[in-house]
Amino acid sequence: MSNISEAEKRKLFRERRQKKFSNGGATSRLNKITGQADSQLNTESPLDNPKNEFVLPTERKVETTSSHDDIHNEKSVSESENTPQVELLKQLASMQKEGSDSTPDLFSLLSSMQQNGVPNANGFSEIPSDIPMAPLVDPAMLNYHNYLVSKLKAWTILLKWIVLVPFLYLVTRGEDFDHSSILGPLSNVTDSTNFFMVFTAFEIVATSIYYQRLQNIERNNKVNTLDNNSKIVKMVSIVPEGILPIKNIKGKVVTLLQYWDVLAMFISDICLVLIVIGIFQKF
Amino acid sequence: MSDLTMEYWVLATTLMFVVITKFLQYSANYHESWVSKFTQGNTSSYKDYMSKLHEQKLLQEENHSISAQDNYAKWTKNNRKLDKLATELKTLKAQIHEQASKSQQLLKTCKLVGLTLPFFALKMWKGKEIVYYLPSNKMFPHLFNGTWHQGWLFVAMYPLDFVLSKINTVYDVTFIASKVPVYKGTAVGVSLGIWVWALTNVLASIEFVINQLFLAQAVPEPVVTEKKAN
Repeated sequence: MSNISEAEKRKLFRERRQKKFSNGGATSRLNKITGQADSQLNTESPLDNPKNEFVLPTERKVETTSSHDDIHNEKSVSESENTPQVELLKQLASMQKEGSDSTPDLFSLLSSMQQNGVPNANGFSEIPSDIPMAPLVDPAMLNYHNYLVSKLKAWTILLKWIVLVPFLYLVTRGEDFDHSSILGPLSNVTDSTNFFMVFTAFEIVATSIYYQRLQNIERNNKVNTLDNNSKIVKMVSIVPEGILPIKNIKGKVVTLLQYWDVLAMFISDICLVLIVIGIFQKF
Repeated sequence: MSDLTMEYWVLATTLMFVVITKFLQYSANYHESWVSKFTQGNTSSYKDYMSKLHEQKLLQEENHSISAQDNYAKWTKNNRKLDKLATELKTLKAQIHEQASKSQQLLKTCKLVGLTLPFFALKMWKGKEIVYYLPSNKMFPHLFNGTWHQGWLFVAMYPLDFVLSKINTVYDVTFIASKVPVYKGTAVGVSLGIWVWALTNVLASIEFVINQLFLAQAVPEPVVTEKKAN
C-alpha cells in the first residue's frame, strides 16, 4: 500500500465512495452530515435516484415553452386537454390558422363556446346543454336589423293605408256615383256587403308579403327578430326544458307572438277603417 | 244613414282630452324644466342658491388670479369663504331637489285629477253613445258589429248571452245577463269608447310611420369581415 501514490489513493477513495453511493448509501451519509435522521421531511439524496435529474429554473421555462409549441403543433398532451384555458387557446389558434388576417371574430367564438358549453375550472360545463340558447348577435348588426324591420313595418302600414283609404271612400260614398260605370266588374268589390271579405283578403295578402320580406331581411342579416328583441322569448329561453309540462315552450311562445303581431296589424287597420268611415260619413 | 248623433260638446271634450294627452306625451322631456321654471323661479331658496353660486364663482376667479404665497391672508380668507359657500350650496341644492320632486308629484296629481279621471268618467258616462253610424249593417260580422255598437262589454258578454239565448228559447226564462242591451242587428253605430280606442290606435300608428320614415336616423350596415376559404 505504501507504494501507492497520493493521486492513486484519491482515485481509489473516489471510486469506493461512488460505489458506496450507488448502493444507496448517499441518503444515510447526507442524514449523518445534516443531523436530520429523524426528520419528517423528505431527506432522500438525489444521488440515490439518478432518474430525477436536477433541473435549473431556466430549463423549466424552456420546458413550458416547448409544451405551448406542442399545443400549436396539435401534439396535445393528455393533461392539457382537460384545462379550459388551453382549450380556449387552441380554439383561438385554430381560428387564426383558418386564414383570417385580422383578429378572430369574438362573437362567433363566443357563440361556438355557447353551443359547445365551456368547461369551467372544475371541468363541468357552465351552461347546461338542455337550455336552448340563441346565438349571440353583434349589437351593431342587431341595431341595423331592427332599423330595417321598423322601416319595413312603417312602409307596410303606409302602403296598406294608401290602398285602404280610396277603397273606404268607394264603400262609404258608393251611392254618390254609379259604380258599374266607373269600376265595371270591380263594382262588387266596393259593395258594402262584401266589405269584410275583401278587407280580410287584402289583409292576408299584405301580411303574407310583409312576412316574406321580413324573412328575407332575417336571412340576409342572420338575425331572428323575436329571439333577439322580445323580452318574453328571452325569459322563456331561460326556463330549462322539463321544468314545465309543456314541450318546446319557446317555440310555442314564438308562434303565439307571431300570431299576436299579425293580429295587432289587423287591429290597427280595423281602427283606421272605423276612423276613416266616420270622416267620410261626416264630410 | 244618419250623420253624427252625439252631442257636440261630448265629442269636442273627448277630442280635447285626446289632444292634451298626446301633447303631454310628446312634451314629457320638457316637463321637468317647465315645472322648475314655474315653481322654483320665484322661491327664496332658488334665488339664494343662484346668488351664492354667483358669489362662489367670483371668489374662485379671484383666488385663481392671486398667488397663495404672495397674498396668503387674502387667499386663505377666500378659501375659508369658499368652503362655507360649498356647504351652504349643498344644503340649498338638497332643498331645491326636494321642492322639484314635490312639484313633479303635484304635476302628476294634477294630470290624474284634471285629465285621466275626467276622461275615464266621460268614457264611462257617454261611452255607449253612438258617434256615427256605419253605411251598412252588413259591413262587419255580428261580433264586430255588436262590439262597435256596444263597446267591449259585448265581447265579454257574448259567450254568456249566446248560452242564455239558447236556454231562453227552450225554457222561456229571462235571465239578468240577457237584460244587457244587446245589439239587435239593425243600424250599426260606432260608440264613443270604441271610437276613442280606434282614434288613439290610429294616432299611434301615424306617429310610428312618421317617426320611422322621416325622423329616425339611418343606421349604416355594419361591415362584416368574411372568413377566407381554406
